[in-house]
Amino acid sequence: MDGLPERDITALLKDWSGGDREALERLIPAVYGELKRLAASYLRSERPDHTLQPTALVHEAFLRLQGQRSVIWSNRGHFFGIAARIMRRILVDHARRRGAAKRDGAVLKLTLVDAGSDERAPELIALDSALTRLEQLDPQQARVVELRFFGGLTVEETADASGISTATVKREWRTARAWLRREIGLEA
Amino acid sequence: MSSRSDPTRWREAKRILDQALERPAAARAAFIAEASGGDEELRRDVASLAAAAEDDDNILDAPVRLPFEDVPPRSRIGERIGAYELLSELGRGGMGIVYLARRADDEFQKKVAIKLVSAGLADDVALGRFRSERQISASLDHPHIARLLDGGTTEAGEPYFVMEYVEGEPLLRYCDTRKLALRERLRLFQDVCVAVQYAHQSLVVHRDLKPGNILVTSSGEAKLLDFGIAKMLDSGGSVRAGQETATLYRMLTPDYASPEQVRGRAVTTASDVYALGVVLYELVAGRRPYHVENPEPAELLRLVCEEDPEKPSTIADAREVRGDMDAIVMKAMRKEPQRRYPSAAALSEDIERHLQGRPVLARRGTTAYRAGKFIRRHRFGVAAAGLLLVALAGGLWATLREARRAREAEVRAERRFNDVRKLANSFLFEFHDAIRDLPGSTPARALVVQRALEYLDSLSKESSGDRALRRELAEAYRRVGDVQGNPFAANLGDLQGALASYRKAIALLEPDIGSPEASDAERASLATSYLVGSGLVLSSEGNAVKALEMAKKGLALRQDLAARAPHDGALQMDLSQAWQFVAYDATAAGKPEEAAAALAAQAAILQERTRAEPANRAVRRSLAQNLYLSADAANFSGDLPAALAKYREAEEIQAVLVAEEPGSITFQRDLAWSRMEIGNCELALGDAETALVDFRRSQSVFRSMAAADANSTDPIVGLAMTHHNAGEALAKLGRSAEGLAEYRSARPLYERVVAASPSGAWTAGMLAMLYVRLADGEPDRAAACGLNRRALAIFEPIAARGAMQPDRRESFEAAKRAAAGCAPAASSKSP
Repeated sequence: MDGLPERDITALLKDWSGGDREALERLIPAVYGELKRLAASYLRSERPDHTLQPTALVHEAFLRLQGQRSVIWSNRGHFFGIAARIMRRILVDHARRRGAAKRDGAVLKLTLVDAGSDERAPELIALDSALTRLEQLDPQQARVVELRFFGGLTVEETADASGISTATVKREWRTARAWLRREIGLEA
Repeated sequence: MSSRSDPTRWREAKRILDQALERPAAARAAFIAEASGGDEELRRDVASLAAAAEDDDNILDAPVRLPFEDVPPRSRIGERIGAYELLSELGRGGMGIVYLARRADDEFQKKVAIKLVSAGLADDVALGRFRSERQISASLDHPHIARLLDGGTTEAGEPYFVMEYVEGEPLLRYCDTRKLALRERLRLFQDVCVAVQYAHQSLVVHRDLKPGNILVTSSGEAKLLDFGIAKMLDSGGSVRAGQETATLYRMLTPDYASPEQVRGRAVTTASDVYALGVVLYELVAGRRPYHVENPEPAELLRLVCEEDPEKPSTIADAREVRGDMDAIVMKAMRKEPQRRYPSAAALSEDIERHLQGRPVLARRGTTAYRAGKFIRRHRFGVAAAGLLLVALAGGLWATLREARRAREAEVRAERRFNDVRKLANSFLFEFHDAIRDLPGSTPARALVVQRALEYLDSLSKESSGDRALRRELAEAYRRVGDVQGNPFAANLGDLQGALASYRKAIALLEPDIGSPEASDAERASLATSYLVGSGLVLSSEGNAVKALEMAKKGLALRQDLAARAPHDGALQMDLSQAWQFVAYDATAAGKPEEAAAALAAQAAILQERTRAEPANRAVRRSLAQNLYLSADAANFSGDLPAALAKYREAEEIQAVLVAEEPGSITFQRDLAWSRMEIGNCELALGDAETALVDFRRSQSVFRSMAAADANSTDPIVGLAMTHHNAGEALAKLGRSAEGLAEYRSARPLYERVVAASPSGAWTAGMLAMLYVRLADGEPDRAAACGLNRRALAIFEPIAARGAMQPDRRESFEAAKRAAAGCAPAASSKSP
């Protein structure tokens, strides 16, 4: 994955946005590898203001992978959609891999808390499949969830990225939140 | 098709749900019913979504962070770093590896320790800042701080630190291998405090204090390692200002990290004081404050930020830890930095006070504490508190005996009258209250009660001609009864003792109550005794018929009182409460018509009161309780849909009350139980899915109650029952493995409550029913038999008293049948 040349990254992104599902499969390991390197470099920070949005991280990872600042996104919504989808895939893959993660010694990295934590792995997997079902039912709503939750976008950013009003985003979000909660509960 | 899979259906449901969520929780059910326009499936669909929306435990509310795995750093033994040659590994930590090293060009072969920071961490260290921080740390010169000699970055850009090499053992191991007494441990700890104080005065915060960073040399000197290093590694890396908090990369030793560190807030000297508190905790208690098997990061985070650790004395068996040391450790570990000791020196000084037997600051201000301190200074120990009280009670008794001998009739009566008053109002309760919160004071409290009873009993025998004395005695018995076991007050959990005291209070007043001379005060007092007594009869003996009989006597008295002053709102509320007792007991006694009549009478009073005082929460709460009991009555008579509707009405009022006053445990309790009953009805009506949701909603309220009041058993019973019932619902849904897991969660909770109050027939019955369920799911035959035997051991005495509640009979029969197939218990092993 380290050896994936810049040109390929760009090409893969283009292929993917052109409808090639497999492109994502090849893209993710590269992006994930870069994310890990990024994460490691932020690892020891205790600064309260040292925070990064998932999409911002993914963006930075892409920049690093491409080795240049030229952005190929057709628009912000396009990029955010990709970033959120990648975050989702990374989190869900991780959750699947870590059925039972070990924890050794006194030192532990508080990096994986909450939604990505091993503790919530089964729930995250359930969420992923429920969200896939929601896509069938209501594609716009599913996209709002992906952007908000996996992409870490604010209501305004989500509205901006999907070309709908903030009121709609709020409505979609809170009803989806209930729907998905019920699905996860029923599936558990 | 439901909104789970049908787009059209989901659109409809979404529209109603969205509007319902605009409304207060209490108003949603009605709105949804209306908006569904008679489409029952739609109503249920949206109702279950609205319930799901209320669930606080939603993964969508958690922030998303990137996962990645640890990569252990590789060893570098033999390499040279700067002028130093790495000889061997001393240890590995979160930041990297510590090596023993020596200056390659040093003819004296002086050894140093080098901490080499992992390559992955080195990327973004702001080197300029690193150097300036290093300067400051290097300036620390203190006998209890290992000196920072040098530092820099390797060619590969990894920061390293060269430190004085300390040959010693980590603090805890040192104390344990030498079996140091508490006093010696505290002396060592004080050295650590002195060092931390010195560093703080030099404006260096350690940030990563832990026992592993504190070494003790063979000559018994404590030395702190790594001062200021955590700060130097603080990255100045790329930060995007103004972005939402979503990803936070941090590394620390979570067991010793303060809440503000864990949350990523500003780290100050107060954070070091917190870490010192944790170290002290471990020194004193022998383990860390947050003891969780394999804690997940999120759980540990929650513990550190929200939960108070158990007091060290509950872990350490040493008596000397109780009280002062508990208070000192807890003060150092307060969640809010400003409530901790203001400095490491202040912490050390308080320990000094403790060592000298003077009152410590951490406990300043409580009467009970000062009294306790007095006793201990006089070399008694906590057990002596009990002895002292015996002496005091004995002394009082002796005085009273003398008084009796004095024999001047009027004086005697007057005196006794005053003595009983004193006993009831002052001696017993002030003492009791003063020692109530002293850890381990239960035996002393029980002794106070016992002495009081002996005294009251002896006076009662001679009280026949003295009416005023009898009334005072009755009051005193009632108060003793409250201390013993009034379920509405902090009590000793001795329900049977409480009932006996209440019966004595009743016996003192009952004979005269019919006479025209009886005062209203006597009637009121006796009425209360009947009513509380009836509650005790029901909860301790499980005898609903007897309880009902008693409650009716109380009702009659209160009716009489209210009739004399029809416009007195307080008397009306008293009467309403009496009706409620009657209704409750009648329901439990299986007399639904009588219960319904009582509830109707109560409802009439309450509706009148609501009109008079619409904002009065107590009245609205009573109204909700009334609805709840009406629902119970319907439930008992088998009219489940009516019961469900009433429970929901009650829940609606209760949810509003909780919203108005979120801190009220009482309101929360009401709400939690209503939700439980709603779930039970739904389950009985065959809607296990919705029931499961309601059990979980109930559970979340019980959980917050348990968190707010750790001493109360009520939420524990509630939590146990929500698990138990969730298990039933899951079993109905065919998810028996999950159901069994729920049953297993319920078991220790019930057992805890039953162990605390063995006379509580009701909870014990629940536990017995649970045992039968667990036995069902138990593959091991011997274990299943053991469980059934346990169930029978609880059921049989209840059945023998004729107090078996109808809903338990089936379970009892099942246990009998199952046990019949078992070999007789030779050595009944617990499963």
